[in-house]
Formats: sequence, structure tokens, C-alpha cells
Amino acid sequence: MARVIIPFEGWDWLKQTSSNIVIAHCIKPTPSAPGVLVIGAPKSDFGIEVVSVIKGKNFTSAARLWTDHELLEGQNYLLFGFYDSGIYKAYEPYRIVPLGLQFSTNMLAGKTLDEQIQMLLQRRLNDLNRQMKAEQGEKARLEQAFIK
Amino acid sequence: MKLRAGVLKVSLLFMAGMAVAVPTQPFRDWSELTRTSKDIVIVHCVKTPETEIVEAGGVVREEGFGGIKSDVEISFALKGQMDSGKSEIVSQYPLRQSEYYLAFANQYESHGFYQAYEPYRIISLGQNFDTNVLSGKTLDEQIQTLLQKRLNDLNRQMKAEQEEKARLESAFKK
Repeated sequence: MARVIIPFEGWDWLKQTSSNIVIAHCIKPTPSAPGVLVIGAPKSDFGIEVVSVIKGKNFTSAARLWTDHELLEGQNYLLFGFYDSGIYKAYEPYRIVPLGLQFSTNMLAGKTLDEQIQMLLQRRLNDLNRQMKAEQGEKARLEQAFIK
Repeated sequence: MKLRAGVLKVSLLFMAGMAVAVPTQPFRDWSELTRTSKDIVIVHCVKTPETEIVEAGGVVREEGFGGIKSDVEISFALKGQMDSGKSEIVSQYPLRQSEYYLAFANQYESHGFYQAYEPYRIISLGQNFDTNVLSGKTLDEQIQTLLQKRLNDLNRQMKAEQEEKARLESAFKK
């Protein structure tokens, strides 16, 4: 029951090989069935609401998401995956791009697939740069506790 | 009656102004923070608040009460009164559902919630946290243990973020 984890080979490759690219809003983790041992389960199994379909067929707004990326309730994510029987599968963590709590799909209107993805990746890069700057400050503060 | 309504309106406006203009203190050191915080507690966030603090030009726009109010459960008190069960905490730090946090706070019974405005007052402890690691330790040892845990987690997280950043930047290289 081993899962094949494919290394990241670039965004163009990811766009081409992902049959479904969607923006998902994470609702709640799927409760595990009592007494059932799942082997090879993904790190995260969440109920999601699909808020925008960027590539692929529009199946249903309510679905599940399986991934090895850590997911948080209430957050929005861009996901590069494939859809199978009510479940979006995007195992490798690089297939999930966090978009924060507040996200409006209006910014994507009238743009091509490539432009939409570039815009979303730029948004994540900006957020990440801000976050990393704040974390540098936090790290320096924490290290103060261990300086004698 | 009209006068009373006017006085009430002015009072509410004054209170709203007071709520936003919360004086915040810069971080000095952990010893002082430990000494001056009336309540040092471990909380579990029950629900991610729907509001976010937006930074505009380096200024934090506050959402009221000097920060965002989050629903939490008190898991453990390192210092101060142990009020177990549900409570609320107000901070500029964005708390996330299911995460545990160490909070250097002050609880004011008249307000009914904990206040920890400055982001440095909140230390993330991740989604899995066992308070057993604190048993038999002094307050200073407990805090050192928790800060070390956060530092280890943060180092791991920053390494992963460096990889993610490099991956994202590759999208903009021609």
C-alpha cells in the first residue's frame, strides 16, 4: 500500500500534470472511524468547500482533501491535485499553497490560468516573506532566554 | 431622555476610542515578562477568529479591545489562578484553532477575559502538547522548557519555509 511521492519538478510541470487545480476552503478534519486502523493515511484529511475551480471539471462544492501538508481549519488553499470519488488527492506538500483566512476570488476574474497561478503564488510569497521576518524577530527573542 | 441618549452616545464613542488606543510595551526580557504577568497560562484555541489584524505601513489596525478576541480553553496555569474551562483572550497575535499557546497574560475579572495584547506575550506550542512535561519543575524551569520547545519547532518551521520560499521564487525566474 506504499504511496509514490514525486519530487517537485517545477510549476509548469505541476500545472500540466495536475488534472484539478482548485481553491479550497478548509472546514473540519474528517473524524476517524473508531476501531479502524488506516495504513498509509495522509497527514491531513479535511472536509473542504471548493471556492474556485482554476483547472478541471467543477465536480461538487463540498468534498474531502487528502494531503501530507498540514491543514488548518478556516484557511484557504490553492491545491494542485486530482479528484477521485469525492476526494481531492494532493499528497505531496508542495501541491498545497496556503492563501490565508481571507480570500476573494474576484482578483482572479478575467485572467488566464497562468496569470491566476502567478498571482496566487506571488500572494503566498508576500505572506511568507512577512511571516519569516516576524519569525526572525521571534527567534532572536526566544534565544535571549538561553543567553547567560 | 434625549440628553441621556446623547450622554450614552458620547460615552460609547469615548469607550470605543479607549478600546483602540491600548498602550503596548516593547519586549525587554523574559524575567521581567514573567514577573509582570499576573497570569501565565497554557491555553487551547477553540476557534480561529474570523477577523485578521492587517498591517498597513507597519501600523497594526486593531479590531477592538486592542486586539482580536479568541475563544480558548485554559489547560494549565503556571502562575496565577487556575480557572479551568472556557475563556477568551485578547491579543494582536493571531491564534489558530486546535493550537496550544503559552500566554503571559493578565486576567481582569471585570472584563471577563485574559489580555495579552503584545504578540510576544503569546508563544505557540503546536497542536500536540502534554502538560506532563511541566510536572515537578519550578516556574522558571517550566518557562525555559516551553521556550525551548517553541525554539526547536520554529527552527524546523523556518527550514521548511526557506524551501517553500525557494520553490515559490522559482515561479518568477525566467
